[in-house]
Amino acid sequence: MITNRERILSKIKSNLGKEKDRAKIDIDILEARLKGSMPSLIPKRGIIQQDKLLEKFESSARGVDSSVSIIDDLSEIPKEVKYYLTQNNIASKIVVLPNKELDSIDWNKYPTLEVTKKFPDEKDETVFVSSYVAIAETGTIVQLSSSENPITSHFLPDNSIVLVKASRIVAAAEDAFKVMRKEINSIPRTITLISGPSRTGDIALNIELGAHGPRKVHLLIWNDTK
Amino acid sequence: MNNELKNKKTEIALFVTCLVDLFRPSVAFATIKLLKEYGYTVVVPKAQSCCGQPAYNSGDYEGAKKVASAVINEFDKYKNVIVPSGSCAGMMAKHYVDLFKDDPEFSKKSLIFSKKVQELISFLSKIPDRKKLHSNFKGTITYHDSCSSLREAGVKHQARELLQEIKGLKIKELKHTEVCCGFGGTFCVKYPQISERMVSEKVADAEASGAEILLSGDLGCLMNIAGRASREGKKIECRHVIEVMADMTSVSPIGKKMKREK
Amino acid sequence: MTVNPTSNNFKENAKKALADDNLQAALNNLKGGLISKRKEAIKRLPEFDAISTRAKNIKDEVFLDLDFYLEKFEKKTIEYGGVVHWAEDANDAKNIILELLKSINAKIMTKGKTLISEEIGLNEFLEENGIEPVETDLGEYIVQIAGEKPSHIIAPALHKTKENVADLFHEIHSPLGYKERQNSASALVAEARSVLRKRYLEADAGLTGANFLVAETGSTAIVTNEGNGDLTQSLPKMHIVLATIDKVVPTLEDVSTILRVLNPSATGQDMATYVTFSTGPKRRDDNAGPDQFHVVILDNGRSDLIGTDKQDVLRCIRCGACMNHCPVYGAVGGHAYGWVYPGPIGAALNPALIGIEKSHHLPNASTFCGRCEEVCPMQIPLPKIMRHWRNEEWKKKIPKYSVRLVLKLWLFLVLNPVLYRIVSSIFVRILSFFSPQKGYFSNLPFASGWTSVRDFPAPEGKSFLSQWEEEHDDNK
Repeated sequence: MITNRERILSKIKSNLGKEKDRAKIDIDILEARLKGSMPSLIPKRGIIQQDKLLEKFESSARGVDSSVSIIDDLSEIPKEVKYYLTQNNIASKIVVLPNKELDSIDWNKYPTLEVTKKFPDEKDETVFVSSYVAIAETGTIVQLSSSENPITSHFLPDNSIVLVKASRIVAAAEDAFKVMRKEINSIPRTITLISGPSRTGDIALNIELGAHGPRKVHLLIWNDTK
Repeated sequence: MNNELKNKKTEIALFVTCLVDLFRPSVAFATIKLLKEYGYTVVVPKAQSCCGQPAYNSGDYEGAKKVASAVINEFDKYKNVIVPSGSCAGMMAKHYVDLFKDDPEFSKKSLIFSKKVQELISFLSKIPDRKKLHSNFKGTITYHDSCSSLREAGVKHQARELLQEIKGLKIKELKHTEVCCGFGGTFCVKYPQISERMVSEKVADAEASGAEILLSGDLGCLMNIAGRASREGKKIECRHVIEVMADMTSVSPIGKKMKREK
Repeated sequence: MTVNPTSNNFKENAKKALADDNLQAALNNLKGGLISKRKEAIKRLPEFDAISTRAKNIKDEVFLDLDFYLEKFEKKTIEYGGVVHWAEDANDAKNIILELLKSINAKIMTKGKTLISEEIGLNEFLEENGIEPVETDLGEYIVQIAGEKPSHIIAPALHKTKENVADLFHEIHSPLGYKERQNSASALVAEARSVLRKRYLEADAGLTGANFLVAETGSTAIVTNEGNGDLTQSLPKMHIVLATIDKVVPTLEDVSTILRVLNPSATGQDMATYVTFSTGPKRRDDNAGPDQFHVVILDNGRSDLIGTDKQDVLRCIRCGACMNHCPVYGAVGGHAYGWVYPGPIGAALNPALIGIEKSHHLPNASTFCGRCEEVCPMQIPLPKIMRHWRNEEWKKKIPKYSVRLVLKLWLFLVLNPVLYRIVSSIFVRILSFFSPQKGYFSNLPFASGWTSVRDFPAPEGKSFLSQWEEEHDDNK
């Protein structure tokens, strides 16, 4: 029996005049294309000098309605988090993802800040996470799903506080993919590029923040390049 | 533009367009007057009627090809073909080539021909060492970019720059210069209600600009806008831009009758 | 069977739309917002044109070897534990999806925005089969609970004003405990968020579309702002992706290139809030994500366009810029088009999917003003494709006999210059003779389409060519 698959593919091939199998050289060219033989066309705004990355990331991130604060040391995190929550009238209660990186933060200095280490669910209001890399051109953070970083963590709570290491800020999305290809053997279930809080324009084209994902995104940039 | 056009004797063939021929001969006379003033010899090839757009845009490619090949054959002997319409110029310079893409005889011919065709305003703006327009026209105008002048002939700033040479003329821009007036050839009679909405908005835009006269480079748009303005009882007058440039505004505006005429 | 089009009623639909004050008020929002936001975004990207050309080339290149890229995508998806299903038409796709849902005994399926599910009429089909589809994109949700269809491809509820939405939510959500009628857009968004949160968690399966299928990695990608797609595809145990054959691109970098022109064109953003690549089901030790990942690749007539003069239409990335800038769409809105894809892209694409016989108005209801082509980030020659459809229509003799007769007569005259000159000058003389003192006709029996809405300017007098001939008897 001829399957749908065969019918669709053979119709395409016959319309292309490619009924015969491709020559090896043609396949080699196509395979090379899939391995990145075509150089990317990155606009000027996405080509950023190393020492300008942080500055550009910060301004792009604010441009997409994220708030930003910059810290020089990991030890400042609890204070900054507490300050952010107070400033924004958010309950002093956060969920911190249980992973190696965030485990090193000492939260005990601020007893009024209630910290739970777990994966958040829909009842948790504020989550504290870290980003894989960040993209300066568009103020984007990149999240890879993993056993330590379930993707739902970034969508269920109302507020996301995200730790971004300055050393992990790259210029453009293409650079983020480059880092990923170098560091990771197997592609994760999801790669998510997040630029600011969720939003919608579906009511009379007015942009409203906080559609289905987080209403607020706060980025704590740890300037670890100093 | 080649140096040859500096030559006073350069011959220009005028493609009148069917709308100008039938409804607004003044446009052709004004074109000839101005081109002559700039030193060109203007000829009007006899066997001309229409560029073929009605057939082409109705999907009758075979019919359009017949008209197009007749036009090419009649105008082929001239080096410069000037058209006082962005829409007809676009048809002749752009769409003939598409139409004859696979035609053994006319694919090349239409390509060569396409290089000779120029929309009038675009041509005027490119005349080397041209002396400024010296029209005695006085008044406030707004300029309607016809879609094909704008997008096929690439005319936008040229029209304004030329008009600004006229001392007594003031330009007030429309708010939406890039929006179609709703003519669209057969569209305006096939979908009159939609066309009505579009042209009403254009008339309102023109009125809001504060201009007394609306100028444009395409008679199709002008008849549409003038017709709607007239239906709405609006004062604004419509003219082909060349009438003002050639200082030939004694003729009544489109769709109006002035008293002092013979 | 695809969803039944009402495109042949375009004229009546348009008339109604023009008289619908509420719709006109809603459409008015379009003129300010999306057009100016796009302009601003493009100003921020001076290389827009060059990137647009690159984006176009990526798609053209893929279409030249479409079978290769699709097979590559399939292979990679399978490698990561996903399942690929091929659907030749709407029925295939619906049945595949139903079987998948039945296999896990699904009762509720959440949905991210997918135009293709509108194309195949998935919601109606699932409801008939006892499965509840829940739209989660706010616009789609509004349209779903109103019992309507989307009227715009990126803003499905564009035809509704804020007051319309407030009334609708009040009516539908009251029984759910949301007693108070909300007036502000933010409160309405918050209410929908709260209602839909429950639905995400209840759902047995989630269905999304795909903006891209990445051949290199076997990933499907969605581009959203609300985050609904991510919740739809991460919370239930099954994630189904419904995508058409034209969505495949070679690499992640190609996605990035196209995004650079997609986002500005669609919403005027430099980057959408969420771009998510999904590859296979959740990994063994993952704590979230679906257990099953299925991709349904649908053809539904698209492969017929490959290698033809209408192939360009498949480059479309569904940004909506063409309809935002279309004066016809702006006047009548999306519903008048009578099928899933409104505006210029619909006029170019729908005839391929539902047949020119059922959609002949769409490519005709255009002035060929060319603004759609000008703003299309994928440089699709939309007017040209519409004209090709008019050609198909002409060849099939779909236009009325009277229309064809008039055109034939005109052609005969135009091709006989001497006769043309005589007839046209008589025509002009008669018109001039009857020309009233005003300089226009308010009614011409043979041009009622014209004079029904505007006056007909009277000719100046004699035709130009006859005057010229009189002056230049010597034939030059």
